[in-house]
Amino acid sequence: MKKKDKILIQNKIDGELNPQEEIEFSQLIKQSNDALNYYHKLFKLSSILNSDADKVAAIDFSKGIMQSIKNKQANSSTHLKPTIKLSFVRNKLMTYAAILLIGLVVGSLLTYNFTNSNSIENNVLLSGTIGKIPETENSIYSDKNTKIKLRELENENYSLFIFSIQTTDTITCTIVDQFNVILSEAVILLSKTDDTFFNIESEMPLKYSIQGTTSFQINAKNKKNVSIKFSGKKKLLKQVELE
Amino acid sequence: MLNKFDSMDEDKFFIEKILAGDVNQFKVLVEKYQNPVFKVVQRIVNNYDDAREVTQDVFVKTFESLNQYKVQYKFFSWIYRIAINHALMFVKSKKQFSSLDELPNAYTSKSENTIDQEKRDQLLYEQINELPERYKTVILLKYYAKLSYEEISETLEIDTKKVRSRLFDARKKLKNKLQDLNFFTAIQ
Repeated sequence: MKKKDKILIQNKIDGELNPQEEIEFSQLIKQSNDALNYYHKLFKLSSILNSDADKVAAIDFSKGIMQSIKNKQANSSTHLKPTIKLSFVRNKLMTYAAILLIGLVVGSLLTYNFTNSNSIENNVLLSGTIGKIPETENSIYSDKNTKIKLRELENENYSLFIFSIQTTDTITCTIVDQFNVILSEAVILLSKTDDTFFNIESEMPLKYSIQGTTSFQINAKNKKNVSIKFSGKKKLLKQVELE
Repeated sequence: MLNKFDSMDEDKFFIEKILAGDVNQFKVLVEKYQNPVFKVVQRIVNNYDDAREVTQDVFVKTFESLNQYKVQYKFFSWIYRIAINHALMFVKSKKQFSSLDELPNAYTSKSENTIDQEKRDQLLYEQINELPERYKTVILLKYYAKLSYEEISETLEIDTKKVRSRLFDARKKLKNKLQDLNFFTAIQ
């Protein structure tokens, strides 16, 4: 039986056929015993999975969640940004103080940017000219303790960005996409030496801490606004935007 | 099943209200998504109490990060991503701290003809969880979150053609694993 026919049967079971495919399915089932058997087997597996999923009893723990959120809010100074914004509106004095503070922060950041020539180079935009040739590895960052190289491989199914890292410092790598939550399955560890440290620090945003020699890949196919930030000792080393 | 596409605007309406400071409106989103999220989480962590705890954390994290949510994308995609990542992380960290003896035994006896319900559930759990992450995710979203191909495509950011073929491969692997363990014979 062809894979195409098996997928047609799968789509039938999942209720995902269009009218034309429904006709094709009916013909296939009438003409082929193999197809009919396959349909029954797949139907059985789907029924098992569906009934397993339906076994989970409906629950309501919204009360607990809301209580937990309120407790956290009460115990923490960090609220949702908009909530802070609203309380600022209520208190004009605080609003002016905040504007002054933001002004100072922005001012110092601008000063830092002008005095640190490295900061502009820290943002790399991969627009299709860098690393399109397989096996070409580009050094995107280098200092006496850390070296980061990037290789890009692309075909119709994949858009792979392979990072090779050698570092004696502990650096962090933060990966986000347009959702700000990239699935950890998009990141695959390719290699690391025995003494290398490659640990997930947080999943939201997805953040790894790295020390040693390692390489990992990110499949950025169909992903929008993927951004990878390498930082060390509270300092941004490199930011890469995958396009 | 939730009619997510019809209720997208509704989600955004509530999110805007929450972001404007009306925290209580978050309850509507919790009530709407708690069950499908809980089902996905429970299948990953395989323990009722852990699933409750993880699901609760997922919603709290979602709330805390709501200002990072971009309204042009669907809320359910976002929350499922958070839930899957969080549940997988939970399992990984739990494994690190448990001895192998404490983990459920793999059900490998091919001669066994009668498997009781509890063992069958455990076996199914083990086989789903042994799938590579990309297959496991697609099975969980399809059966436990009851998402359509289009919704899975949106959540995982892969095209629907890829969803079909990934589901196909996932089911094939799962079917073969279960067949090797006489799972289907045992439930007849």
